[in-house]
Amino acid sequence: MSTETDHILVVEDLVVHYGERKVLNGINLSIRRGETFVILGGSGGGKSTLLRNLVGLMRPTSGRILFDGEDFTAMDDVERIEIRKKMGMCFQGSALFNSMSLEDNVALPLREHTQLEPSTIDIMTKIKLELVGLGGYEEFLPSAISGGMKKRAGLARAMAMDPEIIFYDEPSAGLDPIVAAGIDMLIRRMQSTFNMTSVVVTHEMASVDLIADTVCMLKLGEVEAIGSPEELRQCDKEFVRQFFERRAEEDDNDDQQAFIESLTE
Amino acid sequence: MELEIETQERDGTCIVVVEGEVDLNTSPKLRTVLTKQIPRNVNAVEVDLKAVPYMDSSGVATLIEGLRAAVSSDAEFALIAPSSAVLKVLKLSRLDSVFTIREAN
Amino acid sequence: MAETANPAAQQSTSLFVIFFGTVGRMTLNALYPFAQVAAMIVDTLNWVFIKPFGGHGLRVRAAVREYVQFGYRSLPIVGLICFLLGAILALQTAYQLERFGATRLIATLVGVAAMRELAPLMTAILLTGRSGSAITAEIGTMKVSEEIDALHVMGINPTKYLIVPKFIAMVLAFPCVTILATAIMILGGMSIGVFYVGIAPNVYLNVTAQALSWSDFLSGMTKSVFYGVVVCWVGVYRGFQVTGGAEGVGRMTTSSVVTSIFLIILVDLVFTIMFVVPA
Repeated sequence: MSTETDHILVVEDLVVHYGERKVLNGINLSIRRGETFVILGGSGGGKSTLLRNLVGLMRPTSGRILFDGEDFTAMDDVERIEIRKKMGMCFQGSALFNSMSLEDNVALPLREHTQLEPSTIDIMTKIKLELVGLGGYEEFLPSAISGGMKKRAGLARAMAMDPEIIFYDEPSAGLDPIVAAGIDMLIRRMQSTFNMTSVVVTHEMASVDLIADTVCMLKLGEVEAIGSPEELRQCDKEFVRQFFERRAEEDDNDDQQAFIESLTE
Repeated sequence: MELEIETQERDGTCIVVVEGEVDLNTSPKLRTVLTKQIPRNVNAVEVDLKAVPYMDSSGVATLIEGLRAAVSSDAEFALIAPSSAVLKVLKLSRLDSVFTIREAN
Repeated sequence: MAETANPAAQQSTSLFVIFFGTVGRMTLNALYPFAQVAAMIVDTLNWVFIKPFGGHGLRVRAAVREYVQFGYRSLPIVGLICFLLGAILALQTAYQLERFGATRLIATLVGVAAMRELAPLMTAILLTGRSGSAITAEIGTMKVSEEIDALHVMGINPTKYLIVPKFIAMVLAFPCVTILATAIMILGGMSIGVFYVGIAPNVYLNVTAQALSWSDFLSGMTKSVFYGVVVCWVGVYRGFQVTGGAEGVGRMTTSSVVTSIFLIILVDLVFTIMFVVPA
């Protein structure tokens, strides 16, 4: 079996509850090394929950997540640190440390986890910020820059340790189309240069064609469809077609009676 | 993977042969060689990257430190035969124009 | 069939279950915060006393920065309030003691009260308002803006990175500020004793020195260390409890101050019983 080397991340039968509510219901998927894997789905479809499980911010009710063939879900916090050095994550709200300059933000994981000289870390930090187009902003505090710049700084920080895999939570949400396209370009470039695996959670159809190698579509906590963007375009499932054609949910006229009942209850 | 570094001096040129992956764990070793073990009186430093299949940004940062050290002692600094993967990393950081890059002799 | 045959029995069983179920759930809900706090305390102490010797560093520089913020920066306000309180205490007692012609006892009373009770307490309450609330607000904001999550994902332990420096700073700052607060409170009392009652400065100081013992000093210091521990842990705990947005931060900050002050008084009572009753 060559799955360990081909697949950097494998999810098996993942079930997650929030309290009593089942949010993910038996997710199975595998992510190949070096590909850009897009997780698509409507609001409340469980895509953020899936991402939080993949990076280990939540523990699933059952099921396994294998990182490089090792069971990430069964590890304790100390073992997880080693895996986390190989991951980067770009948060939706960038999650930069507000009390630190951009430079310190990017340098933090390097200072915490490596034995590199301060001068080397300094140069690396500058390279990363330059890479995301923030050269010259080293001394700025996060509060002093715009939302798109914060997002890019967050990306620089996620890349600080040259991770094998980067997770993006809604990378283009709340950005204007030009800046959003710039972020997509950046994701693509990282992937081709460092052969980094990217896992992108989004609901932006525009990004899908630009960046995706594989698309996984979630609906109500289950995988509705999975495949390349072309394959999904051919897919005849109603939900997938709606998503790709940007159609609104059709009204169910049959349920009028139930609707009235639910209002007058 | 272990990083092997060998230095030879020939006609005032110090040749540093690097073999292995340069990453977060191994780049301090390269840094020590490039910034501390190069004789001060050489005219040129050549870093042979033929056998480096992969280099991350700490490696690039280390090369920049090496460049700075060489320039401060008036020596020429050149990278010899970097692999396409390494070249890609340098290009992405727009550093391919900063370094003198030569093909293998 | 059996279910429908005896509906009364069915009813009573379900009432039974509901009753004990509710009691059980309420007990667990009530105990849950204690479990959380206990886990947090163990984790903090582990990172302060055990992990640093296993090759995990302490963030000494961050601790010093927090110490300056919690301790040094609070001195003006703590000093001013303690001076005024000392003066008030002296005025109140002067008025009472004059009738007995025992005005020299002002020095004794102010000195002992300041050292054993008032200076540690006032310091703790002021630092709660200043630093306890700041800790909650900082951690709460970091939680809301996913910064805590970011630490986790980077493989940086939030206890080590955030809590431990604050804990060390608090535990050191409280007694240090308390010592100065005690001195200033005695000075406040002395200002009244000298300028209003007319006691000679050296007499006032002599009486104070005679009245105070090492046990007074130790009792005050011990209390203040524990106040520091309480304020820090309540601040951190409330900070991690924040949910929602900015409004959640505000609510938990208020709650942090109220809880801290309550626990400070409680700790005070326990220690006073321990220190005073056996004597």
